[in-house]
Amino acid sequence: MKETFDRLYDEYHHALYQFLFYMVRNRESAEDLVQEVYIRVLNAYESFEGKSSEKTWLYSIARHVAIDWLRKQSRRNKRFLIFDIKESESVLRDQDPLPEELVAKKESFKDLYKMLKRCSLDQQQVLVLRYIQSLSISETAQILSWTESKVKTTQHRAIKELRKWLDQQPGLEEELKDGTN
Amino acid sequence: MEPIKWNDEKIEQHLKSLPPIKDRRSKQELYLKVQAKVHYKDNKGKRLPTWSLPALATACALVIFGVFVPDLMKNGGKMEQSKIAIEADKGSKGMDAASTATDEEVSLKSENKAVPVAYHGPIQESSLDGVGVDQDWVTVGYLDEQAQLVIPVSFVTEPNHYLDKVNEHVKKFDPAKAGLSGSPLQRAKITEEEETVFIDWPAGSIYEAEESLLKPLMALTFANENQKYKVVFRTDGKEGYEFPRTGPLNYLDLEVPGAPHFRYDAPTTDAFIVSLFSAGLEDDELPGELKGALEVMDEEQGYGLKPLLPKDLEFGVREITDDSVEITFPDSIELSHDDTEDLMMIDAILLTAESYGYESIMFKNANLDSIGPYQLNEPIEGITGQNVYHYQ
Repeated sequence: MKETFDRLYDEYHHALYQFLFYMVRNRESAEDLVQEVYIRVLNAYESFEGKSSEKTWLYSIARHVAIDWLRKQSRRNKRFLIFDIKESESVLRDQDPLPEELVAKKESFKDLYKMLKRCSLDQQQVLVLRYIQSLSISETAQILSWTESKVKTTQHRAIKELRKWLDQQPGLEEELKDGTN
Repeated sequence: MEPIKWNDEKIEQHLKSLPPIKDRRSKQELYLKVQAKVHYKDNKGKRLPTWSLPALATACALVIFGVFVPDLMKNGGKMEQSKIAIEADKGSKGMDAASTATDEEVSLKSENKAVPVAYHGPIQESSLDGVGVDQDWVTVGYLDEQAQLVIPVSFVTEPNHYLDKVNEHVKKFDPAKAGLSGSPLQRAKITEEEETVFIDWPAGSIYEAEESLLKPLMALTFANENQKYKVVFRTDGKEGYEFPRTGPLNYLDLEVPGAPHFRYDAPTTDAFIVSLFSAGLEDDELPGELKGALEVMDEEQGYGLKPLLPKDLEFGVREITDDSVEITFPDSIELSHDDTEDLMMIDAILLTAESYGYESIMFKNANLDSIGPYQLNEPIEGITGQNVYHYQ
Protein backbone atom coordinates (compact mmCIF):
# COMPACT_ATOMS: atom_id res chain seq x y z
CA MET A 1 0.00 0.00 0.00
CA LYS A 2 2.86 2.36 0.86
CA GLU A 3 4.25 2.14 -2.65
CA THR A 4 0.90 2.92 -4.23
CA PHE A 5 0.32 5.78 -1.81
CA ASP A 6 3.78 7.21 -2.47
CA ARG A 7 3.27 7.12 -6.20
CA LEU A 8 -0.20 8.65 -6.08
CA TYR A 9 1.01 11.29 -3.66
CA ASP A 10 4.00 12.23 -5.78
CA GLU A 11 1.98 12.43 -8.97
CA TYR A 12 -1.31 13.90 -7.88
CA HIS A 13 -1.33 15.17 -4.32
CA HIS A 14 -0.72 18.83 -4.93
CA ALA A 15 -3.32 18.97 -7.70
CA LEU A 16 -5.95 17.05 -5.74
CA TYR A 17 -5.48 19.15 -2.63
CA GLN A 18 -5.68 22.33 -4.65
CA PHE A 19 -8.84 21.17 -6.42
CA LEU A 20 -10.47 20.32 -3.09
CA PHE A 21 -9.40 23.57 -1.52
CA TYR A 22 -10.88 25.68 -4.29
CA MET A 23 -14.10 23.67 -4.06
CA VAL A 24 -14.57 23.85 -0.28
CA ARG A 25 -12.51 27.02 0.43
CA ASN A 26 -11.28 25.83 3.76
CA ARG A 27 -7.79 24.49 4.34
CA GLU A 28 -8.62 22.10 7.15
CA SER A 29 -11.63 20.68 5.34
CA ALA A 30 -9.55 20.20 2.21
CA GLU A 31 -7.01 18.28 4.31
CA ASP A 32 -9.71 15.99 5.65
CA LEU A 33 -11.18 15.50 2.22
CA VAL A 34 -7.95 14.71 0.45
CA GLN A 35 -7.33 12.12 3.14
CA GLU A 36 -10.78 10.68 2.42
CA VAL A 37 -9.92 10.56 -1.28
CA TYR A 38 -6.83 8.46 -0.58
CA ILE A 39 -8.83 6.13 1.63
CA ARG A 40 -11.46 5.60 -1.05
CA VAL A 41 -8.87 5.25 -3.76
CA LEU A 42 -6.72 2.76 -1.88
CA ASN A 43 -9.72 0.72 -0.80
CA ALA A 44 -10.91 0.54 -4.39
CA TYR A 45 -7.54 0.49 -6.10
CA GLU A 46 -7.57 -3.19 -6.97
CA SER A 47 -10.98 -2.87 -8.58
CA PHE A 48 -9.96 0.10 -10.73
CA GLU A 49 -10.64 -1.19 -14.22
CA GLY A 50 -8.71 1.41 -16.12
CA LYS A 51 -11.73 2.43 -18.20
CA SER A 52 -10.73 6.02 -17.56
CA SER A 53 -7.24 7.30 -16.86
CA GLU A 54 -5.98 7.09 -13.32
CA LYS A 55 -5.85 10.86 -13.19
CA THR A 56 -9.49 11.42 -14.14
CA TRP A 57 -10.55 8.58 -11.83
CA LEU A 58 -8.84 10.31 -8.90
CA TYR A 59 -10.37 13.67 -9.76
CA SER A 60 -13.76 12.07 -10.13
CA ILE A 61 -13.51 10.62 -6.63
CA ALA A 62 -12.27 13.95 -5.28
CA ARG A 63 -15.17 15.72 -6.93
CA HIS A 64 -17.71 13.37 -5.34
CA VAL A 65 -16.05 13.71 -1.96
CA ALA A 66 -16.23 17.50 -2.26
CA ILE A 67 -19.88 17.51 -3.30
CA ASP A 68 -20.83 15.14 -0.49
CA TRP A 69 -19.04 17.43 1.95
CA LEU A 70 -20.82 20.52 0.64
CA ARG A 71 -24.15 18.78 1.00
CA LYS A 72 -23.36 17.65 4.50
CA GLN A 73 -22.40 21.18 5.43
CA SER A 74 -25.65 22.40 4.04
CA ARG A 75 -27.60 19.84 6.03
CA ARG A 76 -25.77 20.61 9.23
CA ASN A 77 -26.43 24.29 9.02
CA LYS A 78 -30.13 24.41 9.50
CA ARG A 79 -30.00 28.11 10.07
CA PHE A 80 -29.82 28.38 6.32
CA LEU A 81 -33.10 26.55 6.02
CA ILE A 82 -34.63 29.14 3.77
CA PHE A 83 -31.82 29.16 1.27
CA ASP A 84 -31.02 26.63 -1.35
CA ILE A 85 -27.77 24.70 -1.27
CA LYS A 86 -25.79 27.15 -3.36
CA GLU A 87 -26.78 30.12 -1.27
CA SER A 88 -26.10 28.37 1.99
CA GLU A 89 -22.68 27.33 0.75
CA SER A 90 -21.96 30.91 -0.14
CA VAL A 91 -22.86 32.08 3.33
CA LEU A 92 -20.76 29.34 4.84
CA ARG A 93 -17.80 30.19 2.74
CA ASP A 94 -17.96 33.84 3.61
CA GLN A 95 -16.98 32.82 7.10
CA ASP A 96 -13.73 31.26 5.90
CA PRO A 97 -10.80 33.64 5.77
CA LEU A 98 -8.87 34.17 2.57
CA PRO A 99 -5.97 31.74 2.30
CA GLU A 100 -2.71 33.48 3.13
CA GLU A 101 -1.43 32.72 -0.35
CA LEU A 102 -4.13 35.02 -1.64
CA VAL A 103 -3.83 37.74 1.00
CA ALA A 104 -0.67 39.04 -0.63
CA LYS A 105 -2.26 39.12 -4.06
CA LYS A 106 -3.90 42.17 -5.58
CA GLU A 107 -7.52 43.01 -5.02
CA SER A 108 -8.52 41.76 -8.44
CA PHE A 109 -7.54 38.21 -7.45
CA LYS A 110 -9.38 38.49 -4.17
CA ASP A 111 -12.45 39.73 -6.00
CA LEU A 112 -12.21 36.91 -8.50
CA TYR A 113 -11.85 34.37 -5.68
CA LYS A 114 -14.89 35.80 -3.94
CA MET A 115 -16.98 35.94 -7.10
CA LEU A 116 -16.07 32.39 -8.01
CA LYS A 117 -18.25 31.15 -5.22
CA ARG A 118 -21.27 32.89 -6.72
CA CYS A 119 -21.13 30.52 -9.66
CA SER A 120 -23.17 27.36 -9.58
CA LEU A 121 -21.43 24.22 -8.41
CA ASP A 122 -21.30 23.01 -12.02
CA GLN A 123 -19.62 26.22 -13.13
CA GLN A 124 -17.18 26.23 -10.22
CA GLN A 125 -16.06 22.71 -10.98
CA VAL A 126 -15.47 23.53 -14.61
CA LEU A 127 -13.56 26.73 -13.82
CA VAL A 128 -11.38 25.05 -11.23
CA LEU A 129 -10.65 22.05 -13.40
CA ARG A 130 -10.09 23.98 -16.62
CA TYR A 131 -8.18 27.02 -15.43
CA ILE A 132 -6.77 26.40 -11.96
CA GLN A 133 -5.97 22.75 -12.65
CA SER A 134 -5.23 23.29 -16.35
CA LEU A 135 -7.09 20.17 -17.42
CA SER A 136 -8.24 19.70 -20.98
CA ILE A 137 -11.87 19.83 -22.10
CA SER A 138 -11.75 16.09 -22.63
CA GLU A 139 -10.33 15.37 -19.17
CA THR A 140 -12.86 17.69 -17.55
CA ALA A 141 -15.69 15.98 -19.39
CA GLN A 142 -14.51 12.58 -18.21
CA ILE A 143 -14.22 13.71 -14.60
CA LEU A 144 -17.67 15.24 -14.61
CA SER A 145 -19.21 12.48 -16.75
CA TRP A 146 -20.43 15.13 -19.14
CA THR A 147 -20.14 15.62 -22.87
CA GLU A 148 -17.37 17.90 -24.07
CA SER A 149 -19.95 20.27 -25.45
CA LYS A 150 -21.55 20.60 -22.02
CA VAL A 151 -18.17 21.44 -20.53
CA LYS A 152 -17.65 24.14 -23.16
CA THR A 153 -21.10 25.63 -22.66
CA THR A 154 -20.77 25.63 -18.87
CA GLN A 155 -17.31 27.18 -19.10
CA HIS A 156 -18.57 29.90 -21.44
CA ARG A 157 -21.52 30.73 -19.18
CA ALA A 158 -19.32 30.68 -16.10
CA ILE A 159 -16.92 33.24 -17.54
CA LYS A 160 -19.86 35.42 -18.53
CA GLU A 161 -21.31 35.20 -15.04
CA LEU A 162 -17.97 36.03 -13.49
CA ARG A 163 -17.54 38.99 -15.78
CA LYS A 164 -20.98 40.33 -14.88
CA TRP A 165 -20.23 40.20 -11.16
CA LEU A 166 -16.68 41.45 -11.46
CA ASP A 167 -17.86 44.46 -13.45
CA GLN A 168 -19.93 45.39 -10.43
CA GLN A 169 -16.84 45.41 -8.20
CA PRO A 170 -15.27 48.85 -7.65
CA GLY A 171 -11.62 49.81 -7.41
CA LEU A 172 -9.85 47.81 -10.07
CA GLU A 173 -8.65 50.61 -12.29
CA GLU A 174 -5.34 51.28 -10.64
CA GLU A 175 -4.09 47.78 -10.27
CA LEU A 176 -5.21 46.65 -13.69
CA LYS A 177 -3.09 49.40 -15.07
CA ASP A 178 -0.17 48.08 -13.04
CA GLY A 179 -0.52 44.56 -14.31
CA THR A 180 -2.25 41.56 -12.86
CA ASN A 181 -0.02 40.59 -9.98
CA MET B 1 -11.53 58.43 -15.92
CA GLU B 2 -13.38 55.56 -17.66
CA PRO B 3 -13.72 52.51 -15.45
CA ILE B 4 -11.72 49.52 -16.69
CA LYS B 5 -13.88 46.56 -17.51
CA TRP B 6 -13.02 42.92 -17.15
CA ASN B 7 -13.00 40.90 -20.31
CA ASP B 8 -13.00 37.15 -20.87
CA GLU B 9 -9.28 37.03 -21.46
CA LYS B 10 -8.44 38.89 -18.25
CA ILE B 11 -10.70 36.62 -16.27
CA GLU B 12 -9.09 33.53 -17.76
CA GLN B 13 -5.61 34.89 -17.05
CA HIS B 14 -6.55 35.68 -13.48
CA LEU B 15 -8.05 32.25 -12.96
CA LYS B 16 -4.87 30.63 -14.24
CA SER B 17 -2.80 32.83 -11.92
CA LEU B 18 -4.72 32.13 -8.73
CA PRO B 19 -2.11 31.04 -6.20
CA PRO B 20 -1.42 27.36 -5.62
CA ILE B 21 -2.63 26.30 -2.18
CA LYS B 22 -0.46 23.62 -0.62
CA ASP B 23 -1.20 20.98 1.95
CA ARG B 24 0.92 21.80 4.97
CA ARG B 25 1.14 18.26 6.19
CA SER B 26 4.03 16.05 5.28
CA LYS B 27 3.62 13.00 3.13
CA GLN B 28 4.43 10.76 6.07
CA GLU B 29 1.93 12.47 8.34
CA LEU B 30 -0.79 12.01 5.77
CA TYR B 31 0.20 8.43 5.10
CA LEU B 32 -0.14 7.52 8.75
CA LYS B 33 -3.65 8.95 8.84
CA VAL B 34 -4.66 7.20 5.66
CA GLN B 35 -3.04 3.95 6.71
CA ALA B 36 -5.07 3.90 9.90
CA LYS B 37 -8.23 3.73 7.82
CA VAL B 38 -7.15 1.20 5.22
CA HIS B 39 -4.81 -0.77 7.43
CA TYR B 40 -7.43 -3.32 8.47
CA LYS B 41 -8.27 -4.33 4.93
CA ASP B 42 -4.65 -4.73 4.05
CA ASN B 43 -3.93 -7.04 6.93
CA LYS B 44 -7.17 -8.90 7.08
CA GLY B 45 -6.31 -12.58 7.23
CA LYS B 46 -2.63 -12.01 7.67
CA ARG B 47 -2.08 -11.30 11.31
CA LEU B 48 -4.89 -13.28 12.84
CA PRO B 49 -3.96 -16.83 13.78
CA THR B 50 -5.77 -19.54 11.83
CA TRP B 51 -7.97 -20.56 14.75
CA SER B 52 -9.18 -17.06 15.48
CA LEU B 53 -11.91 -16.68 12.86
CA PRO B 54 -13.85 -19.83 13.77
CA ALA B 55 -13.43 -18.92 17.43
CA LEU B 56 -14.62 -15.39 16.83
CA ALA B 57 -17.59 -16.62 14.81
CA THR B 58 -18.55 -19.03 17.56
CA ALA B 59 -18.29 -16.33 20.20
CA CYS B 60 -20.43 -13.97 18.11
CA ALA B 61 -23.00 -16.67 17.51
CA LEU B 62 -23.25 -17.35 21.25
CA VAL B 63 -23.67 -13.68 22.03
CA ILE B 64 -26.31 -13.27 19.32
CA PHE B 65 -28.12 -16.37 20.50
CA GLY B 66 -28.08 -15.37 24.15
CA VAL B 67 -29.02 -11.74 23.71
CA PHE B 68 -31.19 -11.51 20.67
CA VAL B 69 -32.97 -14.79 20.12
CA PRO B 70 -35.69 -14.15 22.74
CA ASP B 71 -36.51 -10.89 20.98
CA LEU B 72 -36.31 -12.37 17.53
CA MET B 73 -38.89 -14.89 18.57
CA LYS B 74 -41.14 -12.22 20.02
CA ASN B 75 -40.79 -9.80 17.13
CA GLY B 76 -41.22 -12.10 14.21
CA GLY B 77 -37.53 -12.01 13.45
CA LYS B 78 -37.08 -8.25 13.53
CA MET B 79 -34.59 -6.65 15.83
CA GLU B 80 -34.32 -2.92 15.70
CA GLN B 81 -31.80 -0.31 16.67
CA SER B 82 -33.77 1.05 19.58
CA LYS B 83 -34.06 -2.34 21.13
CA ILE B 84 -30.39 -2.99 20.66
CA ALA B 85 -29.73 0.31 22.31
CA ILE B 86 -31.94 -0.61 25.23
CA GLU B 87 -30.07 -3.87 25.61
CA ALA B 88 -26.76 -2.05 25.45
CA ASP B 89 -28.01 0.37 28.06
CA LYS B 90 -29.05 -2.47 30.27
CA GLY B 91 -25.75 -4.17 29.73
CA SER B 92 -23.97 -1.13 31.03
CA LYS B 93 -26.08 -1.22 34.16
CA GLY B 94 -25.16 -4.78 35.00
CA MET B 95 -25.91 -8.32 34.08
CA ASP B 96 -28.88 -8.61 36.40
CA ALA B 97 -30.82 -6.00 34.54
CA ALA B 98 -29.95 -7.54 31.19
CA SER B 99 -30.87 -11.02 32.26
CA THR B 100 -34.32 -9.94 33.43
CA ALA B 101 -35.40 -8.51 30.09
CA THR B 102 -39.13 -8.98 29.76
CA ASP B 103 -41.90 -8.55 27.23
CA GLU B 104 -42.69 -5.04 28.47
CA GLU B 105 -39.51 -3.73 26.89
CA VAL B 106 -40.91 -4.11 23.44
CA SER B 107 -44.59 -3.73 24.14
CA LEU B 108 -46.79 -0.70 24.47
CA LYS B 109 -48.20 0.93 27.54
CA SER B 110 -51.51 1.79 26.01
CA GLU B 111 -54.11 -0.25 24.22
CA ASN B 112 -51.52 -2.53 22.65
CA LYS B 113 -50.16 -3.61 25.99
CA ALA B 114 -49.29 -7.16 25.02
CA VAL B 115 -48.47 -6.56 21.37
CA PRO B 116 -44.75 -6.68 20.63
CA VAL B 117 -43.58 -4.23 18.02
CA ALA B 118 -40.58 -3.99 15.77
CA TYR B 119 -39.92 -0.32 16.22
CA HIS B 120 -37.76 1.44 13.69
CA GLY B 121 -36.14 4.44 15.37
CA PRO B 122 -34.10 7.30 13.92
CA ILE B 123 -30.31 7.48 13.76
CA GLN B 124 -28.07 9.71 15.79
CA GLU B 125 -25.18 10.81 13.59
CA SER B 126 -22.70 10.04 16.35
CA SER B 127 -23.73 6.38 16.20
CA LEU B 128 -22.34 6.21 12.67
CA ASP B 129 -18.88 7.31 13.75
CA GLY B 130 -16.20 5.65 15.72
CA VAL B 131 -17.13 2.03 15.24
CA GLY B 132 -14.05 1.31 13.15
CA VAL B 133 -15.99 1.23 9.90
CA ASP B 134 -17.28 4.31 8.14
CA GLN B 135 -21.04 4.29 7.93
CA ASP B 136 -23.54 6.46 6.25
CA TRP B 137 -27.28 6.34 5.75
CA VAL B 138 -29.95 6.90 3.16
CA THR B 139 -33.70 7.41 3.28
CA VAL B 140 -36.21 6.16 0.73
CA GLY B 141 -39.93 6.98 0.74
CA TYR B 142 -42.41 4.08 0.54
CA LEU B 143 -46.19 4.06 0.67
CA ASP B 144 -48.28 2.47 3.36
CA GLU B 145 -50.62 -0.34 2.40
CA GLN B 146 -53.55 2.03 1.86
CA ALA B 147 -51.45 4.50 -0.17
CA GLN B 148 -52.46 7.27 2.26
CA LEU B 149 -49.05 8.01 3.70
CA VAL B 150 -45.42 8.14 2.76
CA ILE B 151 -43.29 6.13 5.16
CA PRO B 152 -39.66 7.22 4.98
CA VAL B 153 -37.42 4.24 5.66
CA SER B 154 -33.73 4.76 6.38
CA PHE B 155 -30.92 2.30 5.90
CA VAL B 156 -27.44 2.32 7.37
CA THR B 157 -25.03 1.97 4.49
CA GLU B 158 -21.41 2.14 3.52
CA PRO B 159 -20.36 5.65 2.48
CA ASN B 160 -21.33 6.28 -1.10
CA HIS B 161 -22.92 8.95 -3.24
CA TYR B 162 -26.44 9.63 -2.05
CA LEU B 163 -28.15 8.60 -5.26
CA ASP B 164 -26.19 5.37 -5.49
CA LYS B 165 -27.39 4.55 -2.00
CA VAL B 166 -30.98 5.32 -2.99
CA ASN B 167 -30.73 3.10 -6.05
CA GLU B 168 -29.10 0.32 -4.05
CA HIS B 169 -31.82 0.15 -1.41
CA VAL B 170 -34.72 0.71 -3.80
CA LYS B 171 -33.60 -2.58 -5.34
CA LYS B 172 -32.59 -4.37 -2.16
CA PHE B 173 -35.40 -3.59 0.30
CA ASP B 174 -38.62 -5.58 0.16
CA PRO B 175 -41.23 -3.20 1.65
CA ALA B 176 -43.78 -5.99 2.08
CA LYS B 177 -41.60 -7.45 4.82
CA ALA B 178 -42.15 -4.30 6.85
CA GLY B 179 -45.86 -4.08 6.06
CA LEU B 180 -45.45 -1.38 3.43
CA SER B 181 -46.37 -1.25 -0.22
CA GLY B 182 -43.86 -0.31 -2.87
CA SER B 183 -42.33 2.95 -3.92
CA PRO B 184 -42.91 4.53 -7.33
CA LEU B 185 -39.15 5.01 -7.32
CA GLN B 186 -38.79 1.26 -7.79
CA ARG B 187 -40.18 1.70 -11.29
CA ALA B 188 -37.96 4.64 -12.17
CA LYS B 189 -34.53 5.14 -13.60
CA ILE B 190 -32.96 7.70 -11.29
CA THR B 191 -29.92 9.80 -12.13
CA GLU B 192 -28.51 13.02 -10.75
CA GLU B 193 -26.68 16.15 -11.73
CA GLU B 194 -25.79 18.64 -9.07
CA GLU B 195 -28.85 19.50 -6.99
CA THR B 196 -31.17 18.01 -9.58
CA VAL B 197 -32.48 14.46 -9.63
CA PHE B 198 -33.75 13.07 -12.92
CA ILE B 199 -36.57 10.57 -12.60
CA ASP B 200 -37.42 8.66 -15.71
CA TRP B 201 -40.54 6.49 -15.72
CA PRO B 202 -42.00 4.42 -18.50
CA ALA B 203 -45.24 6.07 -19.69
CA GLY B 204 -48.29 5.18 -17.60
CA SER B 205 -46.37 3.82 -14.66
CA ILE B 206 -47.73 6.20 -11.98
CA TYR B 207 -51.10 5.27 -10.50
CA GLU B 208 -53.64 7.95 -9.67
CA ALA B 209 -53.61 7.00 -5.99
CA GLU B 210 -49.88 7.52 -5.81
CA GLU B 211 -49.81 10.88 -7.47
CA SER B 212 -50.85 13.06 -4.53
CA LEU B 213 -48.10 11.52 -2.41
CA LEU B 214 -45.32 11.82 -4.96
CA LYS B 215 -44.16 15.18 -3.71
CA PRO B 216 -43.68 14.15 -0.06
CA LEU B 217 -42.30 10.80 -1.19
CA MET B 218 -39.62 12.42 -3.29
CA ALA B 219 -38.97 15.20 -0.79
CA LEU B 220 -38.50 12.70 2.04
CA THR B 221 -36.14 10.72 -0.17
CA PHE B 222 -34.07 13.48 -1.71
CA ALA B 223 -34.53 16.55 0.48
CA ASN B 224 -34.78 14.97 3.90
CA GLU B 225 -32.09 17.09 5.52
CA ASN B 226 -33.78 20.43 5.02
CA GLN B 227 -31.92 21.23 1.83
CA LYS B 228 -33.94 22.19 -1.23
CA TYR B 229 -33.83 19.86 -4.14
CA LYS B 230 -35.23 19.71 -7.62
CA VAL B 231 -36.51 16.66 -9.47
CA VAL B 232 -36.89 16.70 -13.21
CA PHE B 233 -39.31 14.21 -14.75
CA ARG B 234 -38.71 12.27 -17.92
CA THR B 235 -40.69 9.66 -19.79
CA ASP B 236 -38.60 7.03 -21.51
CA GLY B 237 -35.79 9.55 -21.81
CA LYS B 238 -37.97 12.42 -23.06
CA GLU B 239 -38.61 15.57 -21.09
CA GLY B 240 -41.66 15.68 -18.79
CA TYR B 241 -44.13 13.11 -17.51
CA GLU B 242 -47.89 12.94 -18.02
CA PHE B 243 -49.43 12.37 -14.59
CA PRO B 244 -52.95 10.93 -14.37
CA ARG B 245 -54.39 13.93 -12.47
CA THR B 246 -51.99 16.84 -12.89
CA GLY B 247 -51.22 16.19 -16.53
CA PRO B 248 -47.81 16.96 -17.96
CA LEU B 249 -45.16 18.10 -15.51
CA ASN B 250 -41.49 18.78 -16.11
CA TYR B 251 -40.12 19.27 -12.64
CA LEU B 252 -40.84 19.77 -8.95
CA ASP B 253 -38.95 21.71 -6.33
CA LEU B 254 -38.68 19.73 -3.15
CA GLU B 255 -38.47 20.77 0.45
CA VAL B 256 -39.48 19.03 3.64
CA PRO B 257 -41.34 21.46 5.89
CA GLY B 258 -41.42 21.32 9.69
CA ALA B 259 -44.25 19.05 10.79
CA PRO B 260 -45.53 17.17 13.85
CA HIS B 261 -44.69 13.48 14.00
CA PHE B 262 -46.92 10.56 14.88
CA ARG B 263 -46.91 6.84 15.11
CA TYR B 264 -47.90 4.55 12.29
CA ASP B 265 -48.42 0.83 12.83
CA ALA B 266 -48.06 -1.32 9.76
CA PRO B 267 -50.23 -4.44 9.38
CA THR B 268 -47.16 -6.41 10.42
CA THR B 269 -45.65 -5.74 13.85
CA ASP B 270 -43.60 -2.88 12.45
CA ALA B 271 -44.05 0.57 13.99
CA PHE B 272 -42.83 3.76 12.36
CA ILE B 273 -42.74 7.45 13.18
CA VAL B 274 -44.15 9.56 10.41
CA SER B 275 -44.75 13.28 9.99
CA LEU B 276 -48.02 14.88 8.97
CA PHE B 277 -46.23 16.06 5.83
CA SER B 278 -46.17 12.39 4.84
CA ALA B 279 -49.95 12.53 4.37
CA GLY B 280 -49.51 15.02 1.54
CA LEU B 281 -50.37 18.17 3.52
CA GLU B 282 -48.96 21.38 2.16
CA ASP B 283 -46.63 23.67 4.08
CA ASP B 284 -49.38 26.15 4.92
CA GLU B 285 -51.56 23.40 6.40
CA LEU B 286 -48.89 22.47 8.94
CA PRO B 287 -48.02 24.23 12.21
CA GLY B 288 -45.50 26.96 11.55
CA GLU B 289 -43.58 26.49 14.80
CA LEU B 290 -42.41 23.68 17.04
CA LYS B 291 -44.67 24.80 19.90
CA GLY B 292 -47.74 24.52 17.68
CA ALA B 293 -46.59 21.14 16.39
CA LEU B 294 -46.22 19.71 19.90
CA GLU B 295 -49.72 20.92 20.73
CA VAL B 296 -51.29 18.76 18.02
CA MET B 297 -49.14 15.73 18.67
CA ASP B 298 -51.56 14.39 21.28
CA GLU B 299 -54.39 14.13 18.74
CA GLU B 300 -55.46 11.33 16.42
CA GLN B 301 -54.85 12.49 12.86
CA GLY B 302 -56.54 10.07 10.50
CA TYR B 303 -54.44 8.38 7.82
CA GLY B 304 -53.62 5.79 10.50
CA LEU B 305 -51.46 8.29 12.41
CA LYS B 306 -51.65 7.86 16.18
CA PRO B 307 -50.50 10.32 18.83
CA LEU B 308 -47.41 9.58 20.87
CA LEU B 309 -47.74 12.50 23.29
CA PRO B 310 -50.06 12.15 26.28
CA LYS B 311 -53.37 13.94 25.97
CA ASP B 312 -53.73 17.54 27.14
CA LEU B 313 -50.31 17.97 28.69
CA GLU B 314 -48.36 21.08 27.89
CA PHE B 315 -44.72 20.85 26.90
CA GLY B 316 -42.58 23.95 27.43
CA VAL B 317 -40.60 25.15 24.44
CA ARG B 318 -37.76 27.65 24.77
CA GLU B 319 -35.58 28.50 21.82
CA ILE B 320 -31.98 28.90 22.95
CA THR B 321 -30.45 29.78 19.59
CA ASP B 322 -31.58 29.48 15.98
CA ASP B 323 -30.74 25.79 16.01
CA SER B 324 -31.05 24.74 19.64
CA VAL B 325 -34.14 24.40 21.77
CA GLU B 326 -35.08 23.38 25.30
CA ILE B 327 -38.18 21.27 25.79
CA THR B 328 -39.63 20.92 29.29
CA PHE B 329 -41.75 17.92 30.16
CA PRO B 330 -44.90 18.51 32.21
CA ASP B 331 -44.58 17.55 35.87
CA SER B 332 -47.13 14.76 35.63
CA ILE B 333 -45.27 12.80 33.01
CA GLU B 334 -43.52 9.62 34.06
CA LEU B 335 -40.97 8.14 31.75
CA SER B 336 -39.47 4.71 31.98
CA HIS B 337 -36.06 4.03 30.50
CA ASP B 338 -37.11 0.66 29.11
CA ASP B 339 -40.48 1.54 27.69
CA THR B 340 -40.61 1.48 23.91
CA GLU B 341 -43.55 3.84 23.70
CA ASP B 342 -41.75 6.39 25.85
CA LEU B 343 -38.75 6.06 23.56
CA MET B 344 -41.02 6.57 20.57
CA MET B 345 -42.44 9.70 22.19
CA ILE B 346 -38.91 11.07 22.68
CA ASP B 347 -38.04 10.16 19.09
CA ALA B 348 -41.20 11.83 17.78
CA ILE B 349 -40.33 15.03 19.68
CA LEU B 350 -36.73 14.93 18.46
CA LEU B 351 -37.76 14.35 14.83
CA THR B 352 -40.36 17.11 15.06
CA ALA B 353 -37.86 19.55 16.55
CA GLU B 354 -35.30 18.55 13.92
CA SER B 355 -37.84 19.17 11.15
CA TYR B 356 -38.20 22.74 12.42
CA GLY B 357 -34.47 23.24 12.10
CA TYR B 358 -33.33 22.53 15.67
CA GLU B 359 -30.09 20.62 15.62
CA SER B 360 -29.66 20.45 19.39
CA ILE B 361 -32.48 19.52 21.75
CA MET B 362 -32.22 19.68 25.53
CA PHE B 363 -34.90 18.02 27.62
CA LYS B 364 -35.82 19.38 31.04
CA ASN B 365 -37.82 17.80 33.83
CA ALA B 366 -37.63 14.33 32.31
CA ASN B 367 -36.79 12.80 35.70
CA LEU B 368 -34.79 10.19 33.89
CA ASP B 369 -31.11 10.09 33.03
CA SER B 370 -31.31 8.04 29.90
CA ILE B 371 -33.70 6.29 27.56
CA GLY B 372 -32.74 4.13 24.62
CA PRO B 373 -29.62 5.64 23.08
CA TYR B 374 -30.16 9.09 24.62
CA GLN B 375 -28.71 10.76 27.67
CA LEU B 376 -31.52 13.05 28.78
CA ASN B 377 -29.33 15.21 30.99
CA GLU B 378 -27.37 16.61 28.06
CA PRO B 379 -28.30 18.13 24.69
CA ILE B 380 -29.23 15.57 22.06
CA GLU B 381 -27.78 16.35 18.67
CA GLY B 382 -27.54 14.95 15.19
CA ILE B 383 -30.87 13.19 14.90
CA THR B 384 -31.02 12.04 11.35
CA GLY B 385 -32.48 9.29 9.21
CA GLN B 386 -35.85 7.96 10.22
CA ASN B 387 -37.40 4.54 10.68
CA VAL B 388 -34.11 2.76 10.33
CA TYR B 389 -34.52 -0.69 8.90
CA HIS B 390 -31.91 -3.34 9.56
CA TYR B 391 -31.86 -6.21 7.15
CA GLN B 392 -32.12 -9.69 8.61
